[in-house]
Amino acid sequence: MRKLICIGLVQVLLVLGGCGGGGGSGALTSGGGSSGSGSGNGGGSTSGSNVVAMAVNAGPGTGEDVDTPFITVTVCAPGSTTNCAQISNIEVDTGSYGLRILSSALSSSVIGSLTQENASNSQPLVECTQFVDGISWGPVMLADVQIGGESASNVPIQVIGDSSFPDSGIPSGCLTNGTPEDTVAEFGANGIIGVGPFAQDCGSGCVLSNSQYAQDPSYYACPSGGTSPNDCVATAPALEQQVTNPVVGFTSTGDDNGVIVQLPSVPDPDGAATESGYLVFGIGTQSNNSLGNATVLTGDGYGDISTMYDGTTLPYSYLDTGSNAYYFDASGSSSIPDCASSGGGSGGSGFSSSWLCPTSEQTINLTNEGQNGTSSNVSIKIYNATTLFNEDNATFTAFDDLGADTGSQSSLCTNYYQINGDCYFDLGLPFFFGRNVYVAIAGYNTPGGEGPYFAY
Amino acid sequence: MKSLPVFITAVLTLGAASLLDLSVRPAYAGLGATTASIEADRMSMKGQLRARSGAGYSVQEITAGSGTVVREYVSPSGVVFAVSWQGASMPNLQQTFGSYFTQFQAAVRARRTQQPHLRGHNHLEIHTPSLVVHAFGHMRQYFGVAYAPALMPANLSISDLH
Repeated sequence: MRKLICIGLVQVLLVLGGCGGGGGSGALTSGGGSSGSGSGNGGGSTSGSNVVAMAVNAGPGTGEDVDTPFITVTVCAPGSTTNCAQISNIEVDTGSYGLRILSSALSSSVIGSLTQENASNSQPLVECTQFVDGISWGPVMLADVQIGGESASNVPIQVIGDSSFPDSGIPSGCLTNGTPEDTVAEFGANGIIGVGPFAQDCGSGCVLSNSQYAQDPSYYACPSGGTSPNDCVATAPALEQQVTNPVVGFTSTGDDNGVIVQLPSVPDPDGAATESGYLVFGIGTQSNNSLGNATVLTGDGYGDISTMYDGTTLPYSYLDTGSNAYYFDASGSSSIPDCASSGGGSGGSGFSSSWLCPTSEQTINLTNEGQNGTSSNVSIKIYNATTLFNEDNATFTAFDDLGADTGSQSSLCTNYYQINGDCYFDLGLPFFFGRNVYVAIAGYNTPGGEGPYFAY
Repeated sequence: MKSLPVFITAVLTLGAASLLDLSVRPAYAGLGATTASIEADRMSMKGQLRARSGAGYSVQEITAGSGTVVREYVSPSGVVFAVSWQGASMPNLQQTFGSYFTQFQAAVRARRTQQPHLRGHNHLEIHTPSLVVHAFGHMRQYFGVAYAPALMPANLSISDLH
């Protein structure tokens, strides 16, 4: 089967950098790219069976996404190479873990052929996935997952919005954790692939079968077809039953220790209509994914790093393709004001804007530091969001200088570090343009040491 | 006097199936409620309560059994004007937002259509005249703060809250 995939890649790609190991010509190819910026990192073409094309575009939701990357994945019935569904517009998210697909993007015959996972009481295992902006409800099923030329068998994935587990049956304890987003329009994508630095979505915190976990559970045991909020009971699945980052299943190629997010530079400051890059699997496992001289910033127990911004160390910072801007507290900066309420896509109905609207492009110097003591100085840029959205070209979707203001964070993060000021700088997708960003999975070894870490 | 409309709103929101559940649960507290309701929140979250004082406000900090911390910021007149949370799981937002929960949900839905660029699953920014929410994080780590501008003591701003 792998051979077939290799042959397919030869036909599709201009350069074959090796299929399942060997071949290739050293580090990531830098071919100049089409962005015109001349930056080598993140540009050029990359090929190989461990590579899948990634696109930044308007997305399938409201069609107005910005700085949101998507790939195509193939989901097959366990053991089958024919009963499969190829699904485009799967959002790439380094801030979550595991593959989730909206049921409407799958045919009912494929859904029906996946293996339903069961809880300890023999009822189907259903997840109430907690995202910051809402909850997603649907069963956990085993599927074979193919991405590019990689494949993983029996991966626990979530099928969001499955008609066998309708929203009317969402337990009240789940509804209190957020507002459901169980359709493509609500979710903004056909699915999401969490390729962040952990293997399971919840981890050992969900394994505890006790009253503590049962207060805000992610997993439930539910009867199929249940329509009452009282039909489900909280349950604690074993680690291997939890929705799992498919990358750790790429064991046959050994490309299971992390990913590289590669996006070329975009024209500055105006951005681009769309942008194309790659998601590469494995770190230092093939000729096309070597770590090279990238700086390794080890994460803490949550995968976070420290970022020093404006003289303050922010210990809950992270690199997140699932954040469509730089998010940080700009409220103390007179040079980076928020956009006026009428602009920046803020719409009507009393919403005011969180987007940043400096009158001219601003450069911010940051120092990122890992738990390993390694630090890295970077410069980022913030431009006027209203200009980016409305004046240059209302259809542009790829910006390396889009920022959003969180306001003061002083009430948020006092638990672990006893900080009384701001606590995080979210290096969202704008940070990834023009860089190769490595994301190593916790507990997996790489030439740069064990994950969790980010490197670039 | 305040609890009746809140109760009705909640029943309308959740449907009749939750009626029994709500009737045994303590009355809603959270954002907009009075100090007396904080004990109800603690009981609901099966949590431990810790009180401290800031400049011009006091903080009731509830650590739920799950480990998630919810802080309720209380004005000198005894009203919860802001709440924040931090933990490996989202808190019970219905309890935390109290009588503002329905408004919160409506704003989340409106944001999806009226602020189409402001998407993504790892952030939530709501700025309306009556409710401001900033939440962020990633799986295994969630943070958020919400406040009602109308209830904020005149001499305080959000950056004064610790």
